[in-house]
Amino acid sequence: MKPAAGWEKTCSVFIFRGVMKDGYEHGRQERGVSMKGKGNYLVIALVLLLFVLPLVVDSNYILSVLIIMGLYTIVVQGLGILMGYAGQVSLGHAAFFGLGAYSVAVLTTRLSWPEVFALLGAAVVPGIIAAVIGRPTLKLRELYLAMGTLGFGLLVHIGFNEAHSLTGGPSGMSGIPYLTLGHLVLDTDFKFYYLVWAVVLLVMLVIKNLTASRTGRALRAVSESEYAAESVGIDTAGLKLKAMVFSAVLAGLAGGLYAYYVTFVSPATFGFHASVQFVLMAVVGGPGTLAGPAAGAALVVALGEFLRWLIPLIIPGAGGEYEIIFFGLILAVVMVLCPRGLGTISSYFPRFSGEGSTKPAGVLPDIKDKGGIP
Amino acid sequence: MLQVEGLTKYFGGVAAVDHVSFTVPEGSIYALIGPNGAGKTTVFNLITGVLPPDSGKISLKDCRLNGLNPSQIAAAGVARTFQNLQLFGSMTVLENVVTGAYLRGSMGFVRSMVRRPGISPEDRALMQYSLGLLSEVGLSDKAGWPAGRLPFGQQRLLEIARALASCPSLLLLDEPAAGLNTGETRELTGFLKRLKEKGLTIILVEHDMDTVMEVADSILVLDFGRVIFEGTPVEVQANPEVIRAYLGEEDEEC
Amino acid sequence: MSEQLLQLLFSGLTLGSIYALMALALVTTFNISGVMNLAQGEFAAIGALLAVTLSGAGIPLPASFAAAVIMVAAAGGIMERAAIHPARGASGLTLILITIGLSISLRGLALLVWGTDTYSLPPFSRGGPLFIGGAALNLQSLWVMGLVAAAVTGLHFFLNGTYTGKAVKASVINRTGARLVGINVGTVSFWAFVGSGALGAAAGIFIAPIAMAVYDMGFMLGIKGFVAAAIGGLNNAAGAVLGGLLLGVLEAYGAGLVSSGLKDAFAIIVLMSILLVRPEGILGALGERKI
Repeated sequence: MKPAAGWEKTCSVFIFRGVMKDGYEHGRQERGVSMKGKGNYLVIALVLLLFVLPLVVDSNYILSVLIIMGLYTIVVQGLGILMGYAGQVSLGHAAFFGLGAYSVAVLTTRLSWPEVFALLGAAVVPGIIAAVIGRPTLKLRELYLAMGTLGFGLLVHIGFNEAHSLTGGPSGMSGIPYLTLGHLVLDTDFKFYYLVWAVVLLVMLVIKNLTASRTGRALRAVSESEYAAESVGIDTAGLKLKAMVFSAVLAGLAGGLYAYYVTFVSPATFGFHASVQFVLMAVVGGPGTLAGPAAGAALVVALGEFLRWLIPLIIPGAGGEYEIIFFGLILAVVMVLCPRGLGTISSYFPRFSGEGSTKPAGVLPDIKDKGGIP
Repeated sequence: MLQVEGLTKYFGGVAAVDHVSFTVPEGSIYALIGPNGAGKTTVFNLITGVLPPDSGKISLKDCRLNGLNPSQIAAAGVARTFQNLQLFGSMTVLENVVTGAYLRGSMGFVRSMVRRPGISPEDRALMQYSLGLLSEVGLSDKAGWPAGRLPFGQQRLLEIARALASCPSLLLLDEPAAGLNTGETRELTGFLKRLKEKGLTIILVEHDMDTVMEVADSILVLDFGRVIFEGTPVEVQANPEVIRAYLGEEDEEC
Repeated sequence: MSEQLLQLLFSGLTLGSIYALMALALVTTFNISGVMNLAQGEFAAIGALLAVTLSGAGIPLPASFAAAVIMVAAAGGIMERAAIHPARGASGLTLILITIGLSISLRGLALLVWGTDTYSLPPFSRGGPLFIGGAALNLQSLWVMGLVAAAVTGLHFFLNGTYTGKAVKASVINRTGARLVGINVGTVSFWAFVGSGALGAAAGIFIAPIAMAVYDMGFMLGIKGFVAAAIGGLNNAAGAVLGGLLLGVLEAYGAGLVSSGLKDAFAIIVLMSILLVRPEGILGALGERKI
């Protein structure tokens, strides 16, 4: 239905009315943010560092840690869109990661698909599943949404364990081929590192575009006030679903790459603990920013490796138990002290997410605010 | 423009809105008044689809609104403001208005991601347009402020600007003058009159009688969810039933 | 066939009693302090394992049970003061993540102390099982069901028969109002955690002679307690207990007649169906009172 003709004319009058600066520059200047500030040099320096690192570091251990960081960054970037922008939580994201990994495993070893197509499947399968479960699940709020996604994660995990004929059950599946791109076989950590981080940078570029756009604003609007978002014509349910599917696709893609990297998958990697770990990474880095998820993934992985090195030095003979204890404590402490995420950490990183990042929308928007009808 | 027939909504057995019918002519300012709890905001929530009506018919021109969800109703050309403000508090003032112009944009989820980096031409145009709107309400110098840090009165104006950004054919204002000082109220009245001159249809819920009497073309008086009178400001002021139900309480309220 | 069905019913009711106790503790703390405590299952695990260790050290069974219950109750109280109280007023999700963090730590602690071995406790009373309709009912099952009855009666008496209980009820119904008449809502929340620690530990100890005690038994217990509580609508104790029993029976039949590997899946499918179809709970209408 068209608005009244007279009013349409008036609307266009607004556009040419008055003296105005370029809208975009205007907002920038007001906020004192510049695209060509020091931030950009820092980004270039970081990217260069990422590029040079494998050339100077001759340690497969460090490379493997960096690869895992990259894979988790991809997952947490997607989770960050869901949590920081759309204002929804998922305590079952390891399921999508796992579905991606198992897609690659099944498609390559059982159905002999070409590796690249199997990787595509790793993105598509979790996306379809997210689209199916998303609509009813995203109607839930707060506690119910948390428990619903947690339940979904557990269910998928049980599926990995029980569908023996397809997944090999608890002992998992091995013999996944290396990823081959044309004539390039990604059979070393060195090669795989470049692939993973290229994907990470691509994902970050795409997310930067997304958040600094009409859709990004709409997502933030949903997390701030669903009533207001609806009132300006945003289909909140549809948008939340798209955000869910998008984050599932990213998690699946990362899972697919993971399967090609370790060439072996088993259910243990994709349980509740992994889901909690993803949420912790998102929270620590501060979702709703571009650098946050990367920082969170890097920090949590690095901390895990650090503890694995440190604890046996302090307590001789100590095993992985301490790691679990510390991991849980860190999650609890972060949530007690900074329930909105260590947003301060991400503010030390360059703000290159354009219009999208005025302020993190908060990890866990207080849904109490939206409870009543205005 | 807007036709409401037999609109009814029950809250736990109590009729909050009870067979309310009215017609808003195009290009007019129509006011809903009545004591607290008379059902004015509920009528707004029913028109905008926030609440489903139990019975009754709402149509905008020839387009039937009931059964649509709020975002579809917004797309049909109905914009609103909220009694307790619902600004996007952590966004800037400008971003609030640009988000208000959501329906004027076209970039979907995928096209937002897969594009040249930077500000898209569409966004640039929308930002210029939004700045124009902001200067209309006198907020262009605060375009870069986080909306949550604006003084209360300006937040109300910003909500109106955000609602206007979608270029609606019908604007619902829920107590726009609440919390404004005298000067701001006078500016608001002038602004509403200018909008009307430009052809916009406005429905207003307002407690401030001076504002209502000054801007409204016709007034619907509600009490306990029922229409008790409809007429021009002059007629309303003279009607004994209205005075008993509503104006008699005025000295308590103010 | 009917004997097998009856047998499954007995084991379902036994299992369900544990879920009912978990749900009872979850619902009580949730309504008092607004926290869905996902570490609740850990209370049961650590209670049972502590009792095993204490009785293994030569302390008589009743004394070691009491000591384990008191220690876990104290841990619940410490947890409330250290992690929940400082975060009061945070959103429900923040609080849930805090309890998830604590549950992971407690599980790690249990793994550190007790390893991955399974432990057992001797049954509380000697004697063979009762045979009813051809199906065997363990005496220990009766103990477990008795604990449920005792907990429900105790809670009921406490809430309706004592001044403190009435204060607790008041603070559930209206926090501000309770504060105005001098009830310290924070203190009430503290004791709710102490109580749920004690109840959780007791549940773990009572089930240990039937099901083995192992460091990671708490996680699924907590989840199933939540499922049971969700069946009851999260806000009434009677619904939570009935929900627990229902879930236990459902699970026993599912595992016995369909597949034992999918035992946990049944509970989660129940959870998902409730959340998606009837978030207010199936038994929501049964209980008028909030706790």
